[in-house]
Amino acid sequence: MGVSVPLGRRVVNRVVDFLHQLYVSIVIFTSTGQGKTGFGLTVFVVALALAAPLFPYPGPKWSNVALQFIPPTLKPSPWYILGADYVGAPLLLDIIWGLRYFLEIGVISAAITVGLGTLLGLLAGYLGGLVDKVLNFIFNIILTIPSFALWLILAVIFRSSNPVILGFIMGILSWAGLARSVRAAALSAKNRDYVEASRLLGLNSLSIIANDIMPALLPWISINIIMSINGGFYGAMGLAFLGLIPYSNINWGAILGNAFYQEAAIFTATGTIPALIITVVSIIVLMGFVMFANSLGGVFDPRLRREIENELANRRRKSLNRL
Amino acid sequence: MAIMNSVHEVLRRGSAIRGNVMWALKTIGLLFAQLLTAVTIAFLLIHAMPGNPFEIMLSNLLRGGVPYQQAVTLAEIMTGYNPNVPLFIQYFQYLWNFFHGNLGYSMLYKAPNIVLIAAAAPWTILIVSISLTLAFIFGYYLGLIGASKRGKLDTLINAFSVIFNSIPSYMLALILLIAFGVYIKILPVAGLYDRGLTPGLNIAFILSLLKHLTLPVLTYFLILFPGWAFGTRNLALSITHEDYVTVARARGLSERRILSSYIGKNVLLPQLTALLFSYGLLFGNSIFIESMFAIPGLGYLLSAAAGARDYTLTISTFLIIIIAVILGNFIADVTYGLIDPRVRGV
Repeated sequence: MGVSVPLGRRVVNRVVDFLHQLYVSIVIFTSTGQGKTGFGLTVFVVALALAAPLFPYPGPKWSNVALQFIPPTLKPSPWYILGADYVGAPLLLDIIWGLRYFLEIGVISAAITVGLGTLLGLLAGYLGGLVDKVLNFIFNIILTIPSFALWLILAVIFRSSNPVILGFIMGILSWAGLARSVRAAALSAKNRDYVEASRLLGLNSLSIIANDIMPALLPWISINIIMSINGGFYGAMGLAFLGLIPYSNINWGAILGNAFYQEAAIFTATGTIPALIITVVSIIVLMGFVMFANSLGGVFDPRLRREIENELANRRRKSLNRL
Repeated sequence: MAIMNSVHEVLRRGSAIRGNVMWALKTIGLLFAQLLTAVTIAFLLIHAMPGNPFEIMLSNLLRGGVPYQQAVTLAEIMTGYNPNVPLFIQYFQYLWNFFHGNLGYSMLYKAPNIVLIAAAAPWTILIVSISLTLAFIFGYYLGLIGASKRGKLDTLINAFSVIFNSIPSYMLALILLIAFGVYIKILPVAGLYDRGLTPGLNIAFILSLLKHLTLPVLTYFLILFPGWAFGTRNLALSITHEDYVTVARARGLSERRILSSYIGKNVLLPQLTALLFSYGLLFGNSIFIESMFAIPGLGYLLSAAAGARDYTLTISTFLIIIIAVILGNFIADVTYGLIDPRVRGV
């Protein structure tokens, strides 16, 4: 007990341990084809979104009616390699900045979903009794509201394409599903022997929740984060597609909506191209997230983790022996 | 001894009946609580809307030359509330109006909201029920076959569910629209029936309707069936290791027989319940598909009203959609309770 490890050493140990865990996670992730694709696409998308400020912002100074919906070309500038949108700004820049925009929305909505969902789900499952009954009633009511219909109404109320506001709108309903799974998981964990043991040891509820119950919930939470981000893309694009939030050409839905409603451009040869490019890009991005989420289960499987760790250790030993 | 047994029997039956009654009361009570909450949410949303439907209606009427006192009364009837009385009285007025079928008056279509909604709902119900039923049947059989054959079909189901899980419904609709509107012009891409036809039970109208419904139903179907196939396959796989399946196999029954009567039937019950629950939630999805294929259903009404800032129509349509979901879940609950006595706590 009394052995004191210097602080620096402790920090280094923590960091090394974290990096090792991350490495094992990546190895598990990339062990299947789906995981490999999902991981690659997600990392690429996030990196591109983070790097967006390195590219010029497709703001009003790019708008040029003469270039409206031009097919892919290199003529005015190489940015037009994917063609232009309705206002004449390069589609490639719209796509890159759009990724950042949608990810901001998704991250905010994921934070709300995970925060509220975990907190209320744990409260309901752990406390039980009347609190559980009331909270469960609220979860069920919220689950009966079709999310897109409410997003639409809230979008009309707020009339904003600000990512923070949109993130709140998307997050306001999606936590109920997570809350219900967290509640169920907490209920089943509550009666496990190891939780009982912690309680007998006199540990307080907070520490029991943090150390005994939370680890069982991690898969749910992480899948919900990805799905919230997906929902952010879906919702923000859909609202802009229907023209219910102010126009912003980094919102891919607005570009699609313009092609569809404004000039019925999708029925002309030139209007089809940007619509198809946007569709293909967003399907690839969303597919990457879904594949990522599908492969997430294995990362939190302790048995699989131990197997992989043993295998890695064996491989290391073999390579050392060869030396 | 015999008397004791019959007394026990009566007591047991009595408690079973009491259990049933309690279960019914609880379910109905919950239904009412949910309905009340939905109406309350709608009321709060109307108040959160920018601008005030009452004032807009009043100024419209005054501009039309209606005397002030009469205009106030008319506006109150048409919007269903009066902002000059205390909030909780407004709330009870709204509830009263709601239970009397008055959901306000649409500025956009110049008609009572309830009439508009009643005209739109059948189309949504028609499309949703056709496509969901087709998707369910197809997905169920595909899932069963996938569970028995594994291998290639399994990978295919997996791939389909990933692809169609990640395509937003509006993009799929857009792809189909481009494909059928620009390249293969064999199917109509908008509306419900050809112009010049009178709706009714005549062959020309029904054929035209079916033709127009093909693309929207196909969109729903493509989005929905992989989920059912995936769910059925997973459930079926979890059953294949049950004892009774092993016994059936040991008795030398054919794989086909095992699949249809031992695995299929046991998968059907939970899947049917899930089907009942999912009818309601599809109304939310109808917003895109209906507005893209120009089908005058509930989703189209909702997006058109929201776009034109017709607030009472927007909220009323929203409320009716939520109520449809709540009623759908209620029917699913009751049906499930009738099929499976364990739910009733008997």
